[in-house]
Formats: sequence, structure tokens, C-alpha cells
Amino acid sequence: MFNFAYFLLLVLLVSAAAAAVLVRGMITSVIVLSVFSVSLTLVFSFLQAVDVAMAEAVIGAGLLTAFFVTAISRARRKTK
Amino acid sequence: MSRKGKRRQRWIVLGVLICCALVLGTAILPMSVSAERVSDHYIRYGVSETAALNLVSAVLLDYRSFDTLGEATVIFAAVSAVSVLMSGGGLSRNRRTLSNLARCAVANIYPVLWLFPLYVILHGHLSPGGGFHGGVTMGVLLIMISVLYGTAFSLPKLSLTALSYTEYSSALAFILVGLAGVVHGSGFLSNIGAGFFKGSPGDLVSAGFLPLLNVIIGFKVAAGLVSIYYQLLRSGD
Amino acid sequence: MIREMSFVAAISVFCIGLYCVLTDRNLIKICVGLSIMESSIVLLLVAIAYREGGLAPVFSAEIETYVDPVPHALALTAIVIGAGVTAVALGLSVLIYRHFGTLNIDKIWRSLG
Repeated sequence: MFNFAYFLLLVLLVSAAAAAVLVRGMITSVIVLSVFSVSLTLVFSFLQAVDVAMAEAVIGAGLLTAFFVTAISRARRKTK
Repeated sequence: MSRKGKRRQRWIVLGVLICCALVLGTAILPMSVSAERVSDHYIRYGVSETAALNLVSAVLLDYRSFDTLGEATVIFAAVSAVSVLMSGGGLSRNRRTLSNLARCAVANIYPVLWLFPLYVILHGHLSPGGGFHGGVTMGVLLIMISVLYGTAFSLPKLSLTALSYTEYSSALAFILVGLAGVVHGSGFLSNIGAGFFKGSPGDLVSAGFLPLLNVIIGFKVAAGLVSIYYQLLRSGD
Repeated sequence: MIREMSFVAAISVFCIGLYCVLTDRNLIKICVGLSIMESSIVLLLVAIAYREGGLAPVFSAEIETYVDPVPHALALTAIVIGAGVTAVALGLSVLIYRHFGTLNIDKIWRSLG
């Protein structure tokens, strides 16, 4: 039962990664990337890696999304 | 097929070949036996040698603290690289803020949010967490102020100069803590052997310089990340 | 069983990220692929550390087997360094946009002549 639940979680992880690559549009891709980070946090919790799960949660889902959105906002046509 | 299509096809074939190689490589990945011996030592004697309950923090800041110094250097290098790359424009001082609802909602709970990184940093040797987690959370909280109220509000209060000084002094403090071991005669970045207070496992003040290093790393990472955020926002004219 | 499944998932995610870096035309999407590749290697490290029946490596008197704490320390370092590398890559992308006016690498190659 535990193995099957873990398998479903890994399927979610790989689908989130594939979706982040296949969607068109920069902002959509970044949001799917944060979904990938959150599911990776869950996978780390299943693998009993609590320190790594906390780090992935704050860095992947929080900080990297902020950096990406900041860079995207600086790289589009400035409406002046 | 056009020339661009043929070039793209070649890249895809190359990618597929690399994928097959990697899948084969991990299917026959051997597990080294000597590495298990090292981990067995850390698990069995970690608490008695370092008095830290969190074994990952004990490995990261006591047994392998030199690697953590290298990681702090990499963060410093990333901040320097982004500062040099984005140095061509002026710092953005816009008044673009979020809506009134966002500002009121966050302003009421904001001081409570600072309890989390404070707890995680100070209890890094007792429960999962540590300097990096708390440092990144502190950086994110400072970035949140800049996002909510605009950089025209936050830049005078938390200038780039202050952030740089925090980062430099944290890096120097890390190295000075390591040199205390050299002065004592036991080795660079040695913990209990250099005379730092050991205490009993489970106390807040214990495990040598682990709480001190956690605080130093927390400030360094927070200052570095907020600097990167400010640099990425440069207007570029 | 859990370890083999995690290996296959980690390498699949790495290959997906590699495909994105190799074939996509938008600079920001290439940075997304780079970040995905780095996270997959962290998953590989944590999967190596997993032991059957082991629990989280925080000491408690009742627990008998722990998972391996050394790859956890390496994984923590890898996550932070990955974030730093992604930040520099994003800085480079913004700089390229400032200089060339576009994020499409085909147009950038063409304008270089």
C-alpha cells in the first residue's frame, strides 16, 4: 500500500516536470515548476529526508518562483 | 526537412542517446561499502561526539563543515556574479505596491512570521532545520516587504550597502570561528576539540559552535538572497 | 523497490529537463529546464540515502535504524547551489534581453550574423 502511494506520487512528480516543459508561455511554466517543487517536497518527506524536504519547500517553491517572476517582469516589453 | 528541422532532429537524437545511457547507468548503480562504514560511524557516535540531536546538522556543520564553508562561498560568488552582470542600470525605486487588502492582511501577521526562521535557526542542532532554511526564509520575508510596499519604501530602509556589509562580515565571522580551532591547536573548524562548550544533547546551548554557525549562515544567506533580488530588479537604462 | 522506483523517476526527470534545455527556444524556459535538472539530481542523492525501515536522521532513544545522513548534507548543499546557479542564469537572461530585445534564441543567433 505504501509502495503504491509512493508510485502515484512519483507519477505526479514526473508529470509535473513534463508539464513544466511542454506548456507554452513563460509564466505558466514557472507556476508548474512550483507545483513540481511542492511534489518533490512530498517525495522527500516519504523518503524520510526531513531536512532536505524543508529546504526544497523554502527554496524551490518559495525563492525560485520569486526570482523567476522577477526576471520575467524585467524581460518583457516595458509599458511606458 | 529544413536545415533548422534537421538540426533540431539531431539534438533530439543526441538527447535520446544520453537518456538511454543514463537509465542504463543507474540500473546498474553499485553501492559502495566504504561509504556505509562512514555513515555508520556518524549515526552511532554522532550524538556522543557532537551533542547535536539533528544528525544532518552534525554532519553538515561539524564533520563536514569545510564543505559548508565552500557552499557559503558559492552563494557569495553567485551574488557577486549577479551584481556584476546587472551593474549597467539604475536601482529601481518604483512605488508599485500590491493592493490595500494584501498590505493590510500581511501587515497584521508579519511580526509573527518572523518567529519561524528564528526558531528554525536557533534549534538547528535539535530538530530538522538549520541556518540555510532559516536564512532563506528571512530573505523571503524581506523580499515580501519589498514586493508589498514597493522598492521606493524598502530600499532606503534596507540598502544594498547594508546587505553587502552583512554578507562580508558573516563570511569573515565563519572563518574566524574556524580559526579559533587553529589557535587552540586542534585544526581548522574543529568543534569540541577546540574548546567550544559541548553541553548535554537536547539543550538549546550545546553542541559547540553549531548554534553560532547556524546564525552566521542564516544572516549570510538572507543578505545574499535579498541582494540578488534587488539586482534582478534593476531598470537597465 | 522504493529505491529503484526513485532512481528511475530521478533519471526520467533529468532527461525531461535535458530535453527542455536542448530543444526549447525561450531563454526563460531553458532556465526552467536547468532548475528541473538540478532538482532531479538532489532526488537521486536522497534516494541513495534511503534504507528499508529507516526513519528520519534526528536522534531519538526509541529508534533503531536511521536513513543515511551524509547524502542529506550533500543534497542540502546541492539545493542551495542549484538556486544560486539558477539566479545567475536568470541574470544572464535579463542581460541578454536588455542587449538584444528578445528572448528567442533563434532570433539572437540570427542577429549575431
